[in-house]
Amino acid sequence: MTKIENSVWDQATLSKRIYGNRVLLETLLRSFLNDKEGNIASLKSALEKEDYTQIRMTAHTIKGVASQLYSYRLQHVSEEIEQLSKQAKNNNIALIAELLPKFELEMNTLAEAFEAFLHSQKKTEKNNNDQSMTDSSLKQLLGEIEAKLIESEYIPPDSINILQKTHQSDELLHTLLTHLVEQINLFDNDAASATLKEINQHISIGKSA
Amino acid sequence: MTAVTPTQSDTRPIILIVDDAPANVQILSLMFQRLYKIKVATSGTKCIEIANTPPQPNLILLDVLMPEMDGFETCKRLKMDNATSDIPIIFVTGLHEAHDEEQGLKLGAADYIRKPVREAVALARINTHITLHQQRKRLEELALHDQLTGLYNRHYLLEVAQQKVASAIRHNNELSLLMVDVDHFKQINDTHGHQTGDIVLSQLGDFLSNQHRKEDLISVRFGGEEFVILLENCNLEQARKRAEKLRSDIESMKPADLSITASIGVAALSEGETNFQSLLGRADKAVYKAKDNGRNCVILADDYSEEQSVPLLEKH
Repeated sequence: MTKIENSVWDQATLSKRIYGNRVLLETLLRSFLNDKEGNIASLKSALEKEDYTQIRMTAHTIKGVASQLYSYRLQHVSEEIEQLSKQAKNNNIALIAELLPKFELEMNTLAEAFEAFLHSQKKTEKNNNDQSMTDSSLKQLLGEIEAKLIESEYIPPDSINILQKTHQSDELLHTLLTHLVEQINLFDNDAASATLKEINQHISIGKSA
Repeated sequence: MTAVTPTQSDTRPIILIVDDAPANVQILSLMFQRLYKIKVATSGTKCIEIANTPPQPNLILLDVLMPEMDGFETCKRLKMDNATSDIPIIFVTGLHEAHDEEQGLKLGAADYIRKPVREAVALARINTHITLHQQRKRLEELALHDQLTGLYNRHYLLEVAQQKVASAIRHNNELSLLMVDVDHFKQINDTHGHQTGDIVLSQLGDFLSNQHRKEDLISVRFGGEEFVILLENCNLEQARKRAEKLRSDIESMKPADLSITASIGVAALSEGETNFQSLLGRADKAVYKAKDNGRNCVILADDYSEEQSVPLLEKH
């Protein structure tokens, strides 16, 4: 294994691949962190039930995500599990169970690396955190988002990142906007549409008050 | 026919990216969003829903392993449905074994790309398949439309008309047909030249396509100066009124500053009539009667039952 292939994640190659798009990078890392516990739990429960299909599905998904994030070590262990799960032999469950601690370790190590990276980004961002939008430009952006959600159109993370930085004095609105951004970035359109509705209600109540 | 043109403001071709892992969708979207409009689905079910909603995607990038409905099943369903069967599908997957690739291609996928996706290669393949799809659509358009008038042609009519007849019978709906023939058209060509004749036909074509609500009507240039209008949900009496209005409109339209008239035969699908050729034949005969009757008039076709009772030899 080369030095790069043995690394937890190859940040430089990933950044290059996504054209240095920092917002997208952070979105990808957060998406991994959000899914981490669920993925580990899903693999464990599938292992307990000796459900080869579910093991294969979870391992395959994590392998895919790890490869997209240039996280080689996690990719390798997920691939090993995926390969073993393709043949439903009795001893394969035992072999997969043996790989589980390694799998969990790689998931957690990667999560720590991502968290450390996100933390360092936050620090450099602190001085540059006063981006606020006017009410009318907020409404315009929300209108554009609504149209795109209806059309199932892709909404790039950097086009909506500003929503997390504006209107921070209104705590509820700020929380809703943050949720909206997360839901859009995870393509949970139903949840995003519901949040958007809440935001619009909140804004109209605020205006009439 | 499926719509391939994206929204007016954004004319980029549409790619639908289908993957249950958000990180994969983000990376693929970022790669392709400069050249294509991107739509996203995170499940097979959602993919089918979006593929059926206009404007339809010009290409689908489909992940294989997904919970509930996997990519192979999704592909199968898209290919089985006439409305989505011609959208090119490229599988994008981490499954690296030859039999997976073979299965995908056998299901009708256009191509197979392995993860992690390399941008230049993926873009080249996507571009190839979108171009092929657009060219195929264009050829279909050309094959089914009349070049001079832009209306559908005889080939298209014969392709869809029998389906319309079957559907009308199945749903117990009315179906009528007008056959419109420009009077003394040869004389127009001989006196004013073919170019003028073409202008007359082209303006008549424009008139016919603007005239009616599209959903219940198909206008076709059937032959040289002959047009067929198929009217869904329209009985004989309604068809006669429309034909009369059309005859009078043609009389006053003056294409290329010429006075023209038309003879129109009208027929409605009758009880027991299951063949489009029969309906068309009755309208055609009615046109001949209109010509014999001094032209510039509307004649209703003989009843289907009467036609049936006439011995075959006497029909000719």
